[in-house]
Amino acid sequence: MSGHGKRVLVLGGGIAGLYAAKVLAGHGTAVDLVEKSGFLGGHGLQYGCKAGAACEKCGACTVEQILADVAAEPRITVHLRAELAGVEGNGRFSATIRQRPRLLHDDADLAACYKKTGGQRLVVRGWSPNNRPFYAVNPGKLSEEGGAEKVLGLVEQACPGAAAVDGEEAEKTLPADAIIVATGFAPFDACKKPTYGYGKIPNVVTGLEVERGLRAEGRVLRPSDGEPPKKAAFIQCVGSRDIALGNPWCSRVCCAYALRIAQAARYKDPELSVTVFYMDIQSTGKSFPAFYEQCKKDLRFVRNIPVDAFPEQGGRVRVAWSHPKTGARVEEAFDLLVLSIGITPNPDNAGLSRALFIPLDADGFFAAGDGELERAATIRPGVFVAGTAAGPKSIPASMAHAAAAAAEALEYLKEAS
Amino acid sequence: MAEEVIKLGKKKQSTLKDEIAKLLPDGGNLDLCLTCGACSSGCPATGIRDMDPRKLLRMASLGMDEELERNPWVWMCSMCQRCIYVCPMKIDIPQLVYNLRSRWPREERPKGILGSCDMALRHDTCSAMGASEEDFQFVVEDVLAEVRDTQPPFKDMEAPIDKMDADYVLNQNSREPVTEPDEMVPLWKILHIVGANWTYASKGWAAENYCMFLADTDAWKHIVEVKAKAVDDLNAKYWLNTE
Amino acid sequence: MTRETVGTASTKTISLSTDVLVLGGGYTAIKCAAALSKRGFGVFLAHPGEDLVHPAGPAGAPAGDWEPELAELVDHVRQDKNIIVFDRARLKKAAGMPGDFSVTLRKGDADVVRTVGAVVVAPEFDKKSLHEKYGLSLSDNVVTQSTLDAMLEADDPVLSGKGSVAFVAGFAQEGTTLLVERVLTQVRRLKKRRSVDVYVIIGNINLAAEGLDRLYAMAREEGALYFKLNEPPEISQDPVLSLVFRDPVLRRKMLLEPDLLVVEEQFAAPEQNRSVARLLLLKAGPSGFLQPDNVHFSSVRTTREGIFAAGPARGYLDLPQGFMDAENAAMAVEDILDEGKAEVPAQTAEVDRDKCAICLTCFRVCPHGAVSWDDKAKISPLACQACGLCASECPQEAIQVHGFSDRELEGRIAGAAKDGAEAPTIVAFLCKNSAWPAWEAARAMDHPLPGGFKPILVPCAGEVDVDYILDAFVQGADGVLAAACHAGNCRFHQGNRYAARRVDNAKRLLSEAGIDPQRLAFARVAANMGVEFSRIAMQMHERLEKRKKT
Repeated sequence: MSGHGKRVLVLGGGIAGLYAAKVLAGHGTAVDLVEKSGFLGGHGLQYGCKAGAACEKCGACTVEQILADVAAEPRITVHLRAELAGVEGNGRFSATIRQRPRLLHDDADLAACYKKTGGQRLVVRGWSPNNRPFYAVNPGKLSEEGGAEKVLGLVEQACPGAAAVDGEEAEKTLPADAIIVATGFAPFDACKKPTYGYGKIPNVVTGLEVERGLRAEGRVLRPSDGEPPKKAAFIQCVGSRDIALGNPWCSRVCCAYALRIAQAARYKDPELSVTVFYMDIQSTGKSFPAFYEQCKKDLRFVRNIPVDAFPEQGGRVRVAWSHPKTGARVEEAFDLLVLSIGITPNPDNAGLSRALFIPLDADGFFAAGDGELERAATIRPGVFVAGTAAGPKSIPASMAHAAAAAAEALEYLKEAS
Repeated sequence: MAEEVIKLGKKKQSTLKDEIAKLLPDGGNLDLCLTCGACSSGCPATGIRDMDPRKLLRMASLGMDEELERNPWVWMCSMCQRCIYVCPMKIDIPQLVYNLRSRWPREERPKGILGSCDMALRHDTCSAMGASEEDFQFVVEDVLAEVRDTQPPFKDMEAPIDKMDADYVLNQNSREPVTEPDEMVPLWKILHIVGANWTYASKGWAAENYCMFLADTDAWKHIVEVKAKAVDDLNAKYWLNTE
Repeated sequence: MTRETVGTASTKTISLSTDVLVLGGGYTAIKCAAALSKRGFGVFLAHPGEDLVHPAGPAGAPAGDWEPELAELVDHVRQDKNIIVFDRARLKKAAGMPGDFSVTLRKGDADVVRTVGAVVVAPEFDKKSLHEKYGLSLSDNVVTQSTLDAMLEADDPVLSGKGSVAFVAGFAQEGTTLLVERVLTQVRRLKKRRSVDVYVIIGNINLAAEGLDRLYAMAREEGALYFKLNEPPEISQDPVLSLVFRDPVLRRKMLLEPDLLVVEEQFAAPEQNRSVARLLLLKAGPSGFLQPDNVHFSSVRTTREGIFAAGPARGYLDLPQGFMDAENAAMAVEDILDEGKAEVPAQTAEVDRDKCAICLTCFRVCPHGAVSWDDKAKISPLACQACGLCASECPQEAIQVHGFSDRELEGRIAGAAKDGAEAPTIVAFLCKNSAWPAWEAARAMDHPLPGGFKPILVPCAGEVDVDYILDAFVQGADGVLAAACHAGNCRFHQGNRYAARRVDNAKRLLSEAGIDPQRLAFARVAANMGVEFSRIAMQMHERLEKRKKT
């Protein structure tokens, strides 16, 4: 196999990084998979299945599968809570990884602690049993100023001996024959569109939150009372196609996820009425035309983006827009308002770009190499980019991109040897 | 009656939209509309007389200049700027409205705004209500005296007029001194408590500017110049414009 | 180029051809050939055209930007000694298995037979005019997008007389990014030539592809007007060319009498796909593409091992995506052919030659085209994915899947059904790819599961034989659950359909035998839905409890 005796550094443990690592390992390459958070899986692992009677092709289940494959792959070494600090060398790299203090613990002890201290969120668990470890001391709290000591103190108090720090934050050096950047995206922060009242009105939620709810509960529920909505609305393009925010791009996933979530929720409750406020519906994939036709029958589409949301009695959210027939302002209340937030560049991109000497594009995503046709190689030989680090993509598109990055990396390894 | 059909024809050489675009930075982004409708959704005047901001821009893009130039909707717009605030493409619809207003024969513009602008032009105070320097001085001194007498914490408060070298020159909508004099006091108190060194100017003290709403650019400019000169003449650092 | 073989105990090594057939003469196919050659494979590049690359260029792309890069690629492929190009050639016949396909190409009047280890199908789109769907006939002032391309290319003086041009798109088909990219590119080329009014009457502006937001912004700035309609415009060609439609922004009826109307074309799945699918025994997907719309078929996989679909062969993909596919296909070929030998499990599914009646049910049901025959059925170990569909459909029970033989399953069923738990015993056949991980997730997440729940792993729900279900009841199960993935999600294409049908059959048999068919359930659950799995299992448990009590 082409990758034998080589070592590749993959940055990012979301679907693109996982898939690239899996493909590389399948070709005999040793992989160091570096993930900033405490768990592999990225955003994709947090999404729920949106099938009704049939699969609707979101690809969320494939993330679970790929994660299982990676967990079972001995050629892949996973570095959790670690980040790239710098890279030296050309062609053959020496990468410095900043590893946050590792915690010594036993999953069984932490599992017990998780149950004991549930409400405090001292201990959290992954989205999938294929997360190894499955339990972790809350990495969010650990990263807070002085957090580690405090949180570990509380854990020790509640569950003596459950976790201990193994040393200090440390830098370690990893040799790498090639690097794949798969550091993913940041979901758009809906607070930047303040007139929607996100963060203030309980039942104004983001698409990502609905996805997570779907994954955890198997249903679409209102945050205010945990009940399924009878009447829901989606507002598309929140944070996308918006030069005022500096986000001129279409995020390419929101139409598909919104319609799939709407139909999945309607499958469970055919009485549910759904309104979709949009400017253009973006088609995705071979089966989309038929799916969209069905959606047109089942959902109300309004080609007008509302800008105001107001809280109402009973947790309802009043939305205002301009009537398509008269132009007049119309208002209607919904049980749940979903903001279809898009994909924005990972805020780490600028730092990574400097560390790796590869440029970002005008939007802040990683730019592919010189050729117009290039998608996976960067201008720096031996450094490749995969998934949403290079721009908005669905799960299947991220996987195709990751495979292409792995293919080009393998090609590069062969030529370099 | 059969519905009138709009015939799309060959566009004129220089349409209204193109002319306006030339005046604005980045052409006001007038060509960038995605027809998403956010402007109309957020507009307080949407739907009045079957018009809304998105439609206005679309008519301009189609070169429907004649219909636009006599459409009274531009006077129903409150120029609140919400359309550009919510527009994902930062399209300068308010400027389009302003320019359309300015194309109306002056005497045909709404009487209330027209009268207020003309009144302001007649007085150095720039008051749309015709209040004079003396009227203003009398009211300010009268209200101040009463506050100092009746409210001990503010017995030393001042409301100077034409004080030289102050940090701030404050102005004031004519409505307050003329109809609601007590409404001036809260702002004085704030300035007093923070220890600000401020003054009114006897010339150009009136903050309102109906000539802007009238889209009479020369008159608007004149009014601003009068006010700015007063600030300069008093050698103040800042102009606190309350409008 | 075939190399020799060795064998070990649990695996055996088989030798494979390291030549690859690439079908198609466009840029995707050419890129594929180059990528394969680079990896040391011999390539036969076969296409029906006169010469490589038809002149219209890549799908909807601003060909100019990419021309040097593409020209260099074509030159390189023409000179590459590892690549043999067959012009005017079509696939006529194919047989064999991954590593050893025998393909017959019809070239002119002659047949050319070659042995190849793998096939990559990579033709370009067919561009089909949709004017008939609008009830239009093509004329001087009603033209297709291809005609406009040709006029622009030739700098046709006719264009100079056209002061206004209208496009209609997205009404005769659901729009794609390819369509929108092509329309916008043409709009820009028209605008660049000279002062002309351009109107685009369109359903949706599909921008969900790299760089299209910028292309649209530039095309807007250059002054074309876009009418996004939910209903197609009324178009009349007589006496004058006119379009009437209601503009949703103006809320008014509009009349447009353009000098030229450009009618949308469809990027249709390549015409070749149909015959190629038939000859290569591929289960084609929707709209004539050679890949099922199934998330597990990433990225160039087809239903058959050793046969890959790249670019337009498999979906609405643009040229850069086609190029990524080309790399992926080359890597996938390397995956199975490696250096001309492969280690395969000594047993995947095995045919008992004494029992086989050569009825070829296995050949018909195998989603992977892994079955061939001499005097008995044979299963290619390289093609076989061990899903077990053939084993469960075989009327002679002549096929056994390694690790999931009837005997092994009977033992597991007996163990599960006889377990003396107090709660009702549920024997659950769980698909390895969906229900099993969902069950694992339910356990890990502490979702409730019934006390008498007895999971049995199966490679695919389609492997579950009616006999297994009946056996579970005979052995004392209170209930039986067969859990599969959702329709359209089966890793083995349609195993879940077989599973659903068998559960229906089993229910009928249970009814006939006087057993309550409600004791048998079929469920669909995705791998990532532990919470749903728990709900399904608990609902079944409650049903059985209630039944036990009454």
